Amino acid sequence: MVIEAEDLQFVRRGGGFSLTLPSFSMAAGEAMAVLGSSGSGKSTLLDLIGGVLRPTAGRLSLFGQDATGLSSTALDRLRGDRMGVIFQEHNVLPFATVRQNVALGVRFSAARRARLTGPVDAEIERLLTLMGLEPAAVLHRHASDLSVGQRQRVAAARALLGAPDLIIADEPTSALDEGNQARFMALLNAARQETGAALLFVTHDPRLVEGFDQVLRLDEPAQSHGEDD
Amino acid sequence: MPGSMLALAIGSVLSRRLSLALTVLTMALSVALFLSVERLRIAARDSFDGTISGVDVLVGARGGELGLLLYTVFQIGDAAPSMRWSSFEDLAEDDRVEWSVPISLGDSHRGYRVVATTSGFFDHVRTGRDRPLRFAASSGERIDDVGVVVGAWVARDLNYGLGALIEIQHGLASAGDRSHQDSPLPVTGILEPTGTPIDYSVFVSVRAFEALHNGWRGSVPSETALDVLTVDLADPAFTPSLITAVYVGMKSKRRIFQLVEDVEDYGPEPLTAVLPGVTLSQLWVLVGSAEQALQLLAILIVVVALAGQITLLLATLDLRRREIAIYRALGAQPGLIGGLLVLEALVIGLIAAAVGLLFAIVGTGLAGSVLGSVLKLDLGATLLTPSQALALAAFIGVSAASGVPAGLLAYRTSLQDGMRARF
Repeated sequence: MVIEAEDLQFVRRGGGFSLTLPSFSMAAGEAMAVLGSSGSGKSTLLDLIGGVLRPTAGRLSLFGQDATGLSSTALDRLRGDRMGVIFQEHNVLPFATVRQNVALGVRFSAARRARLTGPVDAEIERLLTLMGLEPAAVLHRHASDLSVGQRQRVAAARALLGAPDLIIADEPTSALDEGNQARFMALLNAARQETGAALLFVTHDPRLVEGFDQVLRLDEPAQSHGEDD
Repeated sequence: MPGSMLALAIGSVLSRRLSLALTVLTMALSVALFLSVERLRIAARDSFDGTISGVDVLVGARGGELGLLLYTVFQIGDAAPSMRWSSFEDLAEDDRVEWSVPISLGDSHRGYRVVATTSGFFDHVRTGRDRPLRFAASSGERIDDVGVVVGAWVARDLNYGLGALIEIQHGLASAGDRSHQDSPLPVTGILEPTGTPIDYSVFVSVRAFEALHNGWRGSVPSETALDVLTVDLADPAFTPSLITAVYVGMKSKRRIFQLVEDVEDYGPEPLTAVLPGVTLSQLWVLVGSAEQALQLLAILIVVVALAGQITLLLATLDLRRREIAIYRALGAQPGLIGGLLVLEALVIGLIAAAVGLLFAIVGTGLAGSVLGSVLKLDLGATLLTPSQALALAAFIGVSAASGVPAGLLAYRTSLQDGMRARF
């Protein structure tokens, strides 16, 4: 299993915010949507799975390892080796080229570099093509010169580089218009299915959760208290 | 650091180039100021310490030790000859004395002090660390005749060459009717620069000096002035009756204090004996506080610049949260992120030190002649002394260390932000 969560609870230090999650699990290659309104704890859930936050109670297993027993360094390594992340916005380094931004996907992980099936530049070009970008046209452009939609696709290519087992996408379409949302989702799903990665997709938009293998709803009032960041 | 990461770090720095360039410029200017002040301070101290060496004892008429040193060595103040020539002869004949040189002061030439002495002055007096006086040009004649030797700065300032005829003014007046205008004397030697008051002196023989004053009564000119160029200076009539001081070199350093005591107890007239090195040290204690204040000021300027660097790194940290969040999401550990900021601070420090050094070299090179004329200092040719190199290395080290607060904050921020930049 990619993720196994049992009775996860998180209470922010000093109080003010607490989150209780229903038990859930995710198999390899599966796509799960996390649906919740603003402040419902979606970001906290991603930080727990990403290993930058630790649950206050409950059990969390990532890729078959008990994540609650791992050190911070081991969690950082696990994230770098096996997860690709796409943010809501501010996904790319504006001062770096598209190539540099995508190549960052394997910069901090020897395991992901080892999983590359060919030269890194060839793999970058392949993923950019998968995400609907023309490598020759964008590869050496600075990310700041791209449109928001293009930047999100560059971020998706980066998240897919080195074939991670899990893609975490934190509302990656919220800054896109409707047409670009659908196009991005289609491209992401196609690319994910080709690489075989599981997808944990967070959104507040119910229209986007269709077609996912599972939907985890965080809207129940009993699940969170206080304001999530 | 792998090349691609370094390229990203450089890209990140360049994206903030304006604020960073201003910070580097501020730091470079502070480094340049510090190095320049240090160079000036060292030059001042070297010039001070090296004013006179090789002279074991300085003897003059009874009075303050500091005053004797100031007017004979530094040419500060006004001292008329008041020590008997016979006392000089007694000293010269003393078994413990290796050499002795008489000094007479009181006249000037176009604002520069005239020092009446013998050729022994050029044989025995040293400057700096036992550096003998050297002639940049000489007609080969000894000063004991009517020739004049001028210091390097006098020759340069007044554009004198060998054979130039110069008039000695009576007293310290720069012109007027009190000039020994009947006896212009030829320049027979020009000294190499020493970085000491010697550069600003005009040397004549004590016998020519005496002949010039033949018939003068105090500051009243003689009505029967001699043409010094035509008289026989070996004539006993031109043996001075009074001189200002005597430079003494000892055969054995161990007998210096014995000689000093004997001079203090000298029967025929009251005399004062001074150990130049010791008195110079006493004098430096008085003027050295200015040196310390200058040094402190320069250090404070560097500290302010380093504080500016910390402020810049902390201020830009907020703008870099998205960059840090991306690195974190990709598996970078907080320590690496903190290390990146320390590395950036190190690079800023290195660039600032290099640019500051360049500014200092160019600045002191351009200002060297002005400083020479205004402060009478020779800044020397050494670009970076070992102590300055050490200070520069310390600056770079402290600069890198100043990245630690930003690094720690970045570490903490990256832990708080997790995989997202919170704005």
